[in-house]
Amino acid sequence: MVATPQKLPQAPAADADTSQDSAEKAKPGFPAVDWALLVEQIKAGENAGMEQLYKLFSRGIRYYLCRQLGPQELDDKVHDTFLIVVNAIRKGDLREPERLMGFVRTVVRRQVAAYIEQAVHTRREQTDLETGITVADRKQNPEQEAILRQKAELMKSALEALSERDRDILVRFYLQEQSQEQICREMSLTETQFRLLKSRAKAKFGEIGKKKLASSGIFSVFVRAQAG
Amino acid sequence: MTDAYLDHPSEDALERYLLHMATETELETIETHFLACEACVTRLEALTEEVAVMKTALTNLQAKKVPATSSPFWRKWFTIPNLSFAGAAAAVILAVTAAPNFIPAQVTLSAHRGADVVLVPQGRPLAIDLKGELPDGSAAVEILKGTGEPVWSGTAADHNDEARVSVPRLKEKGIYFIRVYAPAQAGSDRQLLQEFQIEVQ
Repeated sequence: MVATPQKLPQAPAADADTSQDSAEKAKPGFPAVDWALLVEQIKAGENAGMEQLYKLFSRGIRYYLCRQLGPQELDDKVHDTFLIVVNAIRKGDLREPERLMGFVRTVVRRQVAAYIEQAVHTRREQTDLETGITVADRKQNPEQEAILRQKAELMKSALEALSERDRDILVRFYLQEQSQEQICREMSLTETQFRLLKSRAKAKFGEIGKKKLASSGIFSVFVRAQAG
Repeated sequence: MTDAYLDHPSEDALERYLLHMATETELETIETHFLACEACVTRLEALTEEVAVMKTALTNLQAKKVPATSSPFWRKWFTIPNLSFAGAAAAVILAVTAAPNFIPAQVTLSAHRGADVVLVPQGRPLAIDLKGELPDGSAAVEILKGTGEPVWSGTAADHNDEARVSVPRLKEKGIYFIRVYAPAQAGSDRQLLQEFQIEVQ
């Protein structure tokens, strides 16, 4: 399936620099960045460059690391990643500044691989020395769990109102994690029909869920009814 | 830098990313983008919760279906969609049990060697077709219990080597014999032509 770009509201421009490609700056909702200037500032050790780098990537890196490795020692990992990125830029490893986003991704992925390798090594080498293995709890806290359960209960009644066919699509896609191709093949659907049915099911789901959540006084988490 | 990294991924693409269904190319595009896009991280976080709620709700719904199948058998017949099936089933049962008591059971008897026994229903009138070498004109028919006790007698009209006879209900289960006689001649006993065996069940 081709990922259709989705345009988000225009974010205010961060600066008035005109030396960069105007197409890059014109992307709605995406921060306008002068990549060459940013890389130069980092190389020169300027605080402005470091701040912008941190502001630009900290949330994304944090999300990525948390998703891949869990929430334990997250701050340290984010910090380590930034140090590696900054040092690499200063050493001149990034030759094309406009490729900074891809460069950061490569560094983050290597970091994840290194953490996993280290964890495997530690577990293998130090098993005898430890009385037990510490396993990080990836579950949400009790309050979040309770909220999730409550929302899921409301969603369940919303799901019951869907047609058998629409519900089947959702079950296959979300629960059984079947690919779109498999669902289309087994349910005799075209790609367009699949998207339409899933979108309709989600829209109806969102609509019912919104009403139920509104009537129950709980803040809605599922109000987006647009096509998935 | 290519525009693909600057464009916000569609919700479909983000869902595939969260469900580990994205292709390598898509993965590269999405990850490279959201690492520098707070808006998309926010979308991902919301979508993560949305997917979790959806999965939990669907799991609960699936789990709810299982006990429903183990509920008492009779209960599901009283749900609205099943009432029509229940009605149809009742009609069939009525047709099979009650109605045939008034409709003669069709029985065909053929004369041949062997120990074949024709099964006929208990308590229903019988319309018996007798096949074989039968006398011209009407033939006398007699029904006896397995013990030799006569139960019924009458006549059957011959029609193209087939005699048709209507027999009242045989109320008792067991073996019966049906005998077909040639019409009695003056001064002589009637001649037994055929004997059939039936079992009433």
